[in-house]
Amino acid sequence: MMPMRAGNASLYNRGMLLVLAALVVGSALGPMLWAISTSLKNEVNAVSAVPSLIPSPATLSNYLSVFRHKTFGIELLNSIVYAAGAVAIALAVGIPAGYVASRYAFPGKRTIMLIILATSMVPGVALLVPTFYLLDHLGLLNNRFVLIVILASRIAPQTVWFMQNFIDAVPVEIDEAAHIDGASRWQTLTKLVLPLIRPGIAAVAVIGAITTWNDYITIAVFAPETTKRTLQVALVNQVFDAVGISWSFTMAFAIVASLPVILMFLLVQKWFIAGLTAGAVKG
Amino acid sequence: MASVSFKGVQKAFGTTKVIHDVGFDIHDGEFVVLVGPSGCGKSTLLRMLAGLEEIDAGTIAIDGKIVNDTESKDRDIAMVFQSYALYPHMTVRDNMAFSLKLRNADASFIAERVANAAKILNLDPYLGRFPRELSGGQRQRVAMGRAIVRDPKVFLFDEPLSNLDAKLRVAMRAEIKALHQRLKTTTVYVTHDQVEAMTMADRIVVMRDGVVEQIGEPLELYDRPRNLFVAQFIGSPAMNVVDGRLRGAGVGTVVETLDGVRWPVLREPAAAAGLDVSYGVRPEHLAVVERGSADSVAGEVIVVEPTGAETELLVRIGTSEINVTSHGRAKIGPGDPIALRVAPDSVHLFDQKSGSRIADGQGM
Amino acid sequence: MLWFVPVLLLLLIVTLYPTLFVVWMSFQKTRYYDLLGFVGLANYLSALTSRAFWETTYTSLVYMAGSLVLSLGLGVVAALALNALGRSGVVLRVLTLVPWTLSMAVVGTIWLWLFNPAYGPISYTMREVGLSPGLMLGDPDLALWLVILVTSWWSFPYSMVIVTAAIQSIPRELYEAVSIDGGNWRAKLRYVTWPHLIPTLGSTALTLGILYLTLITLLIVLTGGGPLGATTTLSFEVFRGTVQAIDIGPTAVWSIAILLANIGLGVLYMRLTGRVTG
Ligand SMILES: Nc1ncnc2c1ncn2[C@@H]1O[C@H](COP(=O)(O)OP(=O)(O)O)[C@@H](O)[C@H]1O
Ligand SMILES: [Mg+2]
Repeated sequence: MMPMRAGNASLYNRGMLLVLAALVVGSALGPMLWAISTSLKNEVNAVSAVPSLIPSPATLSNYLSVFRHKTFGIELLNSIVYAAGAVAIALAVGIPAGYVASRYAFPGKRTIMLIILATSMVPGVALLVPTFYLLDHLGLLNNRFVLIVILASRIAPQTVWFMQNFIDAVPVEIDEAAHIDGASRWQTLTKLVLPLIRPGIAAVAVIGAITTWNDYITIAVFAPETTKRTLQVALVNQVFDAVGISWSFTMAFAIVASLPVILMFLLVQKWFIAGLTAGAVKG
Repeated sequence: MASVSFKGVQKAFGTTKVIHDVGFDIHDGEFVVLVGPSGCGKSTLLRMLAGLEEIDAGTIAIDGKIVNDTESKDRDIAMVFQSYALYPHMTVRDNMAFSLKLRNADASFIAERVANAAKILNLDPYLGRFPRELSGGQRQRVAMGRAIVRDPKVFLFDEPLSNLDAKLRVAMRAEIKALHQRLKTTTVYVTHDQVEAMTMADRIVVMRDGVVEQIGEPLELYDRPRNLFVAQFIGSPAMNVVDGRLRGAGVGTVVETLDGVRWPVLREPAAAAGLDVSYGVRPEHLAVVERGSADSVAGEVIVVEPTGAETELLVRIGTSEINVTSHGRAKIGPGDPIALRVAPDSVHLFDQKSGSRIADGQGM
Repeated sequence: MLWFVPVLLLLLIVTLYPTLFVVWMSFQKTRYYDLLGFVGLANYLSALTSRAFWETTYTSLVYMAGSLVLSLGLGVVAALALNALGRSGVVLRVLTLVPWTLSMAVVGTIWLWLFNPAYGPISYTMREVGLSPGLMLGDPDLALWLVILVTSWWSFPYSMVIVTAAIQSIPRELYEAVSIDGGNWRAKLRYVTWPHLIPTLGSTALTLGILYLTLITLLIVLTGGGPLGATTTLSFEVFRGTVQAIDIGPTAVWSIAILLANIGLGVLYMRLTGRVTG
């Protein structure tokens, strides 16, 4: 809090501060508001000579058109299946690895952690050419499962690290008590450790889901088939179709394609922010 | 119920050796306390017994059976951790029932055991609560309850009271002791607090730097510490120790320090005059007397700390500072001249070089 | 350890193997997607001596530097302003972070519409105040700067969050000490906040730098690399090379250039944050 001294100078400072904050929030939200506004206009008003922020008349017809669009269903389904599948795989491989990384020291562990670190430094773009070549030769283009595995591999390293960090925060005595109580390693993980880091798992799942949901390149390049594409790919394809584009429809589509992400973000925003800042601030 | 036996046990973490050739036996039903300064290897030894650490060399046996390669869960032991290690997402009841459930015990048996343990520990009203809803002392009891339901051969405690406040610590001390008297289960209890060790133990194992310094009943350690380390570790306030040289003979033997003070030994030691020794006397074995009294040393009061029943004095004798516990209320203040008389049969002599106890001569 | 096997298998097959494969490809003579045999460093020579490669590298650097300056600058201002607001700043910070969660496809689409030269609000406003909006994203001299603007809009909330965390980790006593010594808010900024922010800004710059280096989708949507190649970065060129598939060898070389740059920035990041796993 600012010190509350009743001087003109501090009032002036406070005023400037509010203006600045309004500018910050406004510039972040303004473009999105414009998109929402356009999505609520009819097609004619959207392209009027004098643009206005308030849609009049306001209409939900663009959203109805989005939901009624003939490929919307399969695109939504693909988006959901890919994101859920990738997160499921990433957790399935990341949780055991994170547990062992947190709890055990053994020869070769450093090497393994370095391999994981190294793979995280390989950008997806550098893998476009070789992966396309390999998938093409193996006849695996347009394969949903392959897409899911590729997307999972992108979020797997961070999943391991997050899990390791979360499990580090669980006292190791819990494991030891369980060991003495007769729990196997697997029982210790599933019955004791995982329930204790449930919020962390939710956060990792959401962050991973947002990343995969938002992906365009992987799907567009490795699954050119229409029936395999996601909402993101469909959106970009509308933009490519520059002549036939209806901006009010496209904005409605973009908003629908973003809603799940924004909702998930708001749901776990505290953890999301903690995840962003983990290790980023040098203490 | 069972005996426990350590033989030639060793342990290193990387290249640091933390347990050097430890061997001793614990009898069936005994309450043994491992005590020693922080970092001396008590927990490591206990954890090896629990099966939480590998045993590098030597053997550990429970009930005559070597358990080096036995899994924790098959050693029939239960452990209470310093942090309690309660399962935070389980109720008190589920915490206590967990080990039995893992063993697929049937529900009525589990319920009976849990109820029984809860009754012993006065936990009945809290069975449905989660650990976070309990006070420190209650958590401590749940941790013990979790151990009791198992009805193990051996109870292990690792500094179970150090997270409690002073008053609660004293109360729990008595409770654990009472519990042992009731269940008669062999118990190994680790603490760095020598008062805890003295008050609770049937026998104490004093450790330092991975080595056992002395094993014995509490008063045995107090009366006849085997070396300087044990002498200064056991007892509070700690034993006064001054370095000097043995002079004279027979009951007239004294220890003369470099500053010329002559400390009376009051009996014949099994060592020749001229030996460099450490002279030890506990604060409660020094009495304030008139200057010039027999068997006394003269000095000057530095600090007076009345605690009510007793008065703690810090006295300068020559160049040494000596603690004195005096009963009653002394009418003296800092700067006052004073003389201290050493009680008969209360002097401990140690070889200055080796630190080991010098026995008494014949007659003692 | 057995429990590492699944994740290692996944990463070895999906990430490491293609990485090695692209290195092998870069030494092959290629036509379309056919590998026609070993040619040594020929692809490297042709790539590194081509004008296009260096022009594109230059564009990438300008794009990265411009976006970094703007994103970090806005991030710091936003962090300071919202942090000074106290509790109400928390909610505003969450709202401000929303753009960061949007996909680049969505961000690109929204801004394509905002920049629309005929019907967009930005060109309209410019006309109203007497400026000529021109072609906006269609203007070769302007396009890269507009893309930088959009990139910064999308990513400054990230900088803001990181900087906020850094600010909040500064001990209060330091500010109080400056107050006692008679310093005003400017002195606090100069002598307390700023020195604490420098390392954080460094690591954030590296994180974002990697992101900008490898970013493609936003360019696809906003400009398609144009006009006249004005916004073609290394990564965008790799994307185009992959889908057009005229000659895949040089594209492999470009991929490796990005890979090396990414690893370089990544290692620098590790150094700076002192984060070594194991
Ligand atoms: N897992 C470990 N790795 C390395 N050193 C350890 C480990 N556990 C204990 N030590 C070291 O072993 C010594 C004995 O530790 P410990 O048994 O915990 O001592 P105590 O319980 O008597 O305080 C200490 O020096 C400690 O630092
Ligand atoms: Mg210990």
